Amino acid sequence: MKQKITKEELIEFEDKIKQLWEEAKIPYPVHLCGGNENQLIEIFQEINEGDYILSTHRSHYHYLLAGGSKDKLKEIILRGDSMHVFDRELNFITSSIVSGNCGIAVGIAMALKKKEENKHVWCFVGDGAEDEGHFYESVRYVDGYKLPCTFIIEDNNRSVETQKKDRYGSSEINWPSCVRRYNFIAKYPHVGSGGWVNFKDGVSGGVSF
Amino acid sequence: MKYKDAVKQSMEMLAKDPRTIFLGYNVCFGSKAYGTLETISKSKKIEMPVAENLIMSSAIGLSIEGYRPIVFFERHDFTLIALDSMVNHLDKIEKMSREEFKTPVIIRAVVGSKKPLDSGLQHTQDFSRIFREIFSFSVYGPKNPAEVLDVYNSLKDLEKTAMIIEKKDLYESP
Repeated sequence: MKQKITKEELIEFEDKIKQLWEEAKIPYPVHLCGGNENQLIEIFQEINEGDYILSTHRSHYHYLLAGGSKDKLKEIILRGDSMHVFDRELNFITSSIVSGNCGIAVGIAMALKKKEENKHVWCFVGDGAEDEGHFYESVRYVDGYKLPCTFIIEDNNRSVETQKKDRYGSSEINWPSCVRRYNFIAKYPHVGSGGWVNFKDGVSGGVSF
Repeated sequence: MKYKDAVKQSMEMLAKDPRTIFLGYNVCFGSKAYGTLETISKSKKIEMPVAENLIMSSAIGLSIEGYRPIVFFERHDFTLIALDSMVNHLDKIEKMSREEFKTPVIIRAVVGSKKPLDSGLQHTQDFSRIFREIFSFSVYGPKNPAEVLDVYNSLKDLEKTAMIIEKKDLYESP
């Protein structure tokens, strides 16, 4: 996909959202992106217009790289739908249930294959989704039927805030080729920006989150 | 007409719509959905592994691409494994996307028989009451062939999501 947005613009957008969050202007959960700009820009070069993108609770960068408008995304976030970013024109879908987007990706890919459409499904998940059986079912089905679908594990070695070694011990699974992984160090915590925001009084530095 | 024949006839009616697709386990093989899908062309059916959440989520994906899935769960008890997909996705995507995406799916879930064969504690449960509480879409429990035909007639435009709970004990009844 021809990129319409640069790394600097991605960071600038998320910095603004961070500021709005810290000013208690967004009284809803916000999962900020950061630290994976280069990797995502490279992946999106492979993604074509018309392809499906299935994202997660952390969708801002995916949406902007898919060609989504910054103004529209900001409006979506301010109204409390940071975790529910959808766009029919861009075939952009999210789920905030860990690994919940995987089976939906499978169904879309089944349909595209049946209709012989030259489109692809890109399903982004965190490494937390690897812990879920639903991810396994979906990967196995895509691999078995060679469906036009790629799962991308955005591995920040963190499920909410817990590292892999503290979740499944030393277990490592070698997934088939429909699964790709990139590693990165997340700029922000799982949710919020790391500071305390007082939503009750609308000022930063107080209680909550 | 027996209850089972009414279900079979309803499936044949739905199959006439080119958008419909039938998926589940034992739909192409075995009992072919207790015989209710035996006359449906194999090209209209997708045999799935017994992975209920995957079956349900796949149906959602198919509906997003314009298909109208009819999901068959041979064991009502096992639908609990697909409940995450039903509650958090099937019943929420239209709302979360402010109607940009619609995901109409028909779900059939058969409650196992108690007579003459008692299918046991894990194969005879009926969660209709719970489902009616947690879904915003309709849950039907037709009790005779006429009600079966009525339910499917009311859904034949395939624009709505619904769950139909069938009872295996009624299959041979008029």
